[in-house]
Amino acid sequence: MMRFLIAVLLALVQDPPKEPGKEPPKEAPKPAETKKAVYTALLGGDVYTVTKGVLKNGTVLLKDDKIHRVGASVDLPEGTTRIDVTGKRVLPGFVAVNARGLAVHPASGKVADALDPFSESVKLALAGGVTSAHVELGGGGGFFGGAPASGGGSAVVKMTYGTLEGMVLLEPASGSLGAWITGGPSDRFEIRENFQKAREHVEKERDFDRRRAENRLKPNEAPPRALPAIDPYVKYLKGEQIARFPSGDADQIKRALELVNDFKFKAVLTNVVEGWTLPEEIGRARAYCTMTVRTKVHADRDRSGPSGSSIEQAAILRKSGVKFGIISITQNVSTGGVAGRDLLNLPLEAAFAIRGGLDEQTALESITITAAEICGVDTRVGSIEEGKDADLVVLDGDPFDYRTFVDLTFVNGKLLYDKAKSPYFSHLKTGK
Amino acid sequence: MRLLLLLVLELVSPAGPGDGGGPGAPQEDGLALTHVRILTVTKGEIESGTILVRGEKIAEVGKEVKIPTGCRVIDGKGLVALPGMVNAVSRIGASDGAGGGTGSTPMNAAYDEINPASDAFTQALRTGVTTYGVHPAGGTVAGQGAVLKPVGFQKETMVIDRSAFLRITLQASTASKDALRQAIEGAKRQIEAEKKNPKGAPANPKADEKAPPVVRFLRGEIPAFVNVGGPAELLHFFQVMDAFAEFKTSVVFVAPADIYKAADELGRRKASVILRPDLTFLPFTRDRVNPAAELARAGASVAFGPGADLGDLAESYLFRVAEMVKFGLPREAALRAISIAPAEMLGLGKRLGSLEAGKDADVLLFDGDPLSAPARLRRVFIGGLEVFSGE
Repeated sequence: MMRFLIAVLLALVQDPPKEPGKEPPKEAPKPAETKKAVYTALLGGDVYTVTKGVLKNGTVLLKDDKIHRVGASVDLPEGTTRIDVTGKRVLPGFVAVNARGLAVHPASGKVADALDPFSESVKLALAGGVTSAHVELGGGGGFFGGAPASGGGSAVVKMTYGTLEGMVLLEPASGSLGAWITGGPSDRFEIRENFQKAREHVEKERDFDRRRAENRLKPNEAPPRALPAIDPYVKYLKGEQIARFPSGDADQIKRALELVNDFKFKAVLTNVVEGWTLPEEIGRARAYCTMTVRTKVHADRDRSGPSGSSIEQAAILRKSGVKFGIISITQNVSTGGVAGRDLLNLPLEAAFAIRGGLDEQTALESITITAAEICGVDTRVGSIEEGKDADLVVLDGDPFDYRTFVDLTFVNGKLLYDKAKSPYFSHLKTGK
Repeated sequence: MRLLLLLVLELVSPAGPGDGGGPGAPQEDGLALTHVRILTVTKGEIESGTILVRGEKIAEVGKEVKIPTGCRVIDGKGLVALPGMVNAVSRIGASDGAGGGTGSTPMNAAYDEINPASDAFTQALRTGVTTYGVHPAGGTVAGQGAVLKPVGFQKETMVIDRSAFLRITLQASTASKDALRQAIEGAKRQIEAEKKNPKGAPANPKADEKAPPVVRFLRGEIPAFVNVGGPAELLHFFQVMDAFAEFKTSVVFVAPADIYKAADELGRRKASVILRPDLTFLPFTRDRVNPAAELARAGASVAFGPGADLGDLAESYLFRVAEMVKFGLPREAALRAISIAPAEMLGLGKRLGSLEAGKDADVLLFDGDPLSAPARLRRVFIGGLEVFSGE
């Protein structure tokens, strides 16, 4: 199939850092087999697969909630709904690598139980082409979000307006180690000790597995069990859960990397500002970053060496092989304040990285496949590939052009946003 | 009891319009309301007819009704008869506050909270509501609701059904969903245990003592009134309950205006919904949406509730219902939504909610069309007793 692709590779990407023992996220429950398959085809658009180049004038065929076929010529089954997108661009739905209060009620407990698929913020996120988001519970929630409570639930959710079905991609999605950065010495002592205990537990498990393989177990010997408090740390070490560190400045980044280097686990440094001063250190630790490229922070005169923000941060990190996701300043949809700072304009946030020297391919990855990888859902979303989730956006122009609007947004194969019918955007005639 | 009632009626309504008989007690020979325009709700309108009441029940409704000799006759020329309204979502006479939290308190009973001496019962007579579904205070699985009529002065005589429904308030949170799921699972276990040991002592003496009302709900004996804060909570409720689809339960949603966003889902499930008769707006616009019309169009069953037992909300109730008609709800559906629909949701559709022979003689007389602004409520009969006559 792939030989049909006219691969226009915008950039060759280095091998991604390998995550130890990474498991694909659980599949969403399938609808009953007896249901007749629904086919939808997007015809004539330029298909930005993200992972396999751009296919000019291609066809994307959706079968139910999955991408079924991608190619220059695809046989369409009978009854396929055809949508002509000639002259437009088809991209994977954007992934908001950090979001607050988006699509959830303020609550404690599990994200899955607090979802609000009828929130207007979901509708507006779709209008911005965002189809998935990493959300955390707690804080103010609501329209403008709020700071998530430490230790609140986290999940990757889809913007499935109007239904809970297929809304949760992954839960729990990550754990916060914010206390390592902002807590006191006793917090750090406890975290380090927990990692130590978790490491011992993992070694015991390995030993158990080895002896079981060699038939050397004692009679009725039970596998080792970790205390509940240690459990998340065991998951970090095994690569089953991603740890997030809010680490803006260089000191915080160094502090986070110290732990990552000592225990070797998959970590995300969030809202990174001074990462450009430590690109090699971050690269060596194989830590991911999330950032808002146009965040401005003054250099600190009291510190020797470089400090403060740099618009070149993304480009600099890219050279050291650091993978990053780009996110807006307001990590939700806002209806007040200054326009263009929220999730409605995610590609423009990435465009600022291009302004700072980043290549377009990596910029696109930072809001699609890399963002998905950081969230732990890259086997499901983030690129246009056969078998992946049918989460797509159709743009009326270049993704990084400020004149470009989202025309259509699909989630799980369903058309959930159509600019021509949107009460918010249908009146805009942009002359394209 | 009737004496007591008479006595008080003398105080609140010293004189009925000149119709010969004294106000109040149903006559042994019956009561005839003649020459009235009758909105039966279930059987259309009668331009000018008679409602014949015998005891507490309606004996006959029609154009030509033979009036027995000795029957008290009220000439209702110029008046319009509507069945007494049913407010299925009320806290009348109950202590203040509706509880909260995510706990499970199914043995809470609104019946225990009701103060029969509450002044609200007298004041509310002028609103035209003749039957109330009183909800208990409590958490997620809040407790049992009672149905009462605002006459009688003693709980035992006021209350029609002490345990008429289960009240649930579902929030979009793990704690609330878990509380509901656990309550249902507990009841399910009890039902299964009883199936295994159909005779004798309770099969499982250690069974959760909170289970019985939930057990009755699962068996389909009583409905659940489920308060949802919005369309999202509705989906969370379905998510919990769809795991117990083997039970044929009856559910009534009490919902705010934005429930219309889930109209398709509600229509597909042929759900029953109680709303306030209020318009809402499309988000961030001044474009009006009529939630009741949207739900009715989708195929859901809609009932109204005024949202309060006394005060502006209660007294402007019919005006607000009329506005729903103005904005697209068929008049027929609006009249049903204040009478027979909530009566059916309370499981009392055979007894209340329309002007038909055999039903309770709960009758309202207006001096014009009840859905027109200048019409005023003139007289209220509950169980054949005149309990209010207009000021």
